[in-house]
Amino acid sequence: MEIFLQFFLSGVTVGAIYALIALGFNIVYNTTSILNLAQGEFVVLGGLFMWLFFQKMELPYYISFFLTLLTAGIFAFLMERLTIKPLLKTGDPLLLILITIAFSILLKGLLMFIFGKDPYGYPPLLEGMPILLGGAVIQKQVLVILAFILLTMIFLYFFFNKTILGKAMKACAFDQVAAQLMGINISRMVMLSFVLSGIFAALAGILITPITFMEYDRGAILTIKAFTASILGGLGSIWGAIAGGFILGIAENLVAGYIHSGLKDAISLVLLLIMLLLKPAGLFQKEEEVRLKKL
Amino acid sequence: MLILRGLDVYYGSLHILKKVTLHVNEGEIVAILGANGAGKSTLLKSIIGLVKMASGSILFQGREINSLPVEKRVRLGLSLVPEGKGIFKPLTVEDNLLLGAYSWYNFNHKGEVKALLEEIYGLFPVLAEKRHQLAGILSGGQQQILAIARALMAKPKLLLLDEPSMGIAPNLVLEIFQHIKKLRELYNMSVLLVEQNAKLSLKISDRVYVLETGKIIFEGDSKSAMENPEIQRAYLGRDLDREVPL
Ligand SMILES: Nc1ncnc2c1ncn2[C@@H]1O[C@H](COP(=O)(O)OP(=O)(O)OP(=O)(O)O)[C@@H](O)[C@H]1O
Ligand SMILES: [Mg+2]
Repeated sequence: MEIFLQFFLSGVTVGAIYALIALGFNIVYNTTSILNLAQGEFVVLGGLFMWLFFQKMELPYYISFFLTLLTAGIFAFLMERLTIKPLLKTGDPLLLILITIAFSILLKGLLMFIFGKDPYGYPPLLEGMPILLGGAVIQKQVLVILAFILLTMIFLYFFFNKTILGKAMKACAFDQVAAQLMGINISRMVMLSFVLSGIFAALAGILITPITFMEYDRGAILTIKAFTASILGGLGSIWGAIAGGFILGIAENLVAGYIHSGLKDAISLVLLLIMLLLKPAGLFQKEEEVRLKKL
Repeated sequence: MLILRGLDVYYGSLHILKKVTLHVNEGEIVAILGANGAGKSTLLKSIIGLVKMASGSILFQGREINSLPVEKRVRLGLSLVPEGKGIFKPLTVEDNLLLGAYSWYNFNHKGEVKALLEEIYGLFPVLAEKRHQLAGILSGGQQQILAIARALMAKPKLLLLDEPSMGIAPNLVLEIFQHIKKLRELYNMSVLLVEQNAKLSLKISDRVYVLETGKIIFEGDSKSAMENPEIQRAYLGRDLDREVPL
């Protein structure tokens, strides 16, 4: 029982991280119908820049935190303006997805150039002894991560349901022509979605690095995990992304713990295949709802 | 208010609009009649900027808007209710209406938006009743009403309507047009209207153009058009030659 709880809690921790990355995935997917496969690199960027500001330059935590998110926002902004915007008119999702892969390689190279190949880490926001819960050990950083997930959910709920900008983004996701007729600048919404997703990914990086360390080439696997989480919850669904992230994180850790740790990454691909074959709309979305969204 | 001069539009190599010239005066309701495929929707789309034109010019309130993107034209006071309605089905009725006001929505105008929203609910009680429901579950006719109401939320100076009577009960169509007439007086709004229902559109419009395979073949005031035998034959379903005098 204790060991189960331990695996479960580790699962919740990484799950929260996957959820954050998957959120960004879905925000971009919703406004543009493209997958931003550079998402994982933004997680790495978040961890490494946080190290730079917080550890190397010894800035206070909060300042480093905001500078890191700002950096991610700027990179995402540049990515959208320089690579997506000029090609958005082609309306070819495949081309745009390939562009995001190209950008991810570029970003990875840049991060390696700046930071080298070493793994980096820094102390967590809450230091001190881990908490014991029913025999399982919880690092305090896990609580920080969960708090941030909660904050993010509240922010997103508020943004998409209470602000005109959020509603405009939803409108844009559903019908770009009609959104234009409302006077909505589509290109600006796309830019905003990239910036938001870059920031969420960087936040994930900031939070996870004290636990797992971060190095320049971790992006691709994180992108795959986030993609699986999105598919599990249903591509395009904000709440599905969060649920999918937790499910994947927990499944991974249970499999790694009880069967073999070498299977940790494989489980993600297995789940992905099963979902795509059996229930491509995701665990929680009905096929009809998806159709209503896209009609 | 709106002046089109020598508008040419192509889809690929298909010449759809051929040197279309027309104008809409301040506060006027102008109807465009034409058979299926004449290019009526294309005309409205090129005015709002959804379709690129090959040559010609569009003047709106004395300003050339040829090269402006759609959202800028909307901000200047053009608003289109498109053929397919363009309702945001996963959003609530109220959110649809609020997005109608997107072009002038900001913190300073929040009160104004609320006031206009209530005014619109007053005009269309069915929308008030369903304000918190998803727009996707409205009936086709209700969606059409929502589309028109949403366009009015933009406080347009020129409202472009593409077959507004589509799918709406005839008595309701009349009611909607009466609202539009009332709004025109309230806001000094002009209307450019495409309709299949020629009788109705001649009744409520001041002037009419007839579009045939991309060319304007008739222009005149609606009253005289109603008496014009050609138009009666082609669009009002009356064949005078065959009508037997009693
Ligand atoms: N996107 C497009 N690509 C190619 N041809 C098009 C396109 N849209 C419309 N057309 C063609 O342009 C012509 C005019 O179409 P349009 O929709 O403007 O007609 P309409 O007068 O609105 O007809 P209706 O009364 O049926 O709505 C038609 O022959 C149509 O087939
Ligand atoms: Mg049409």
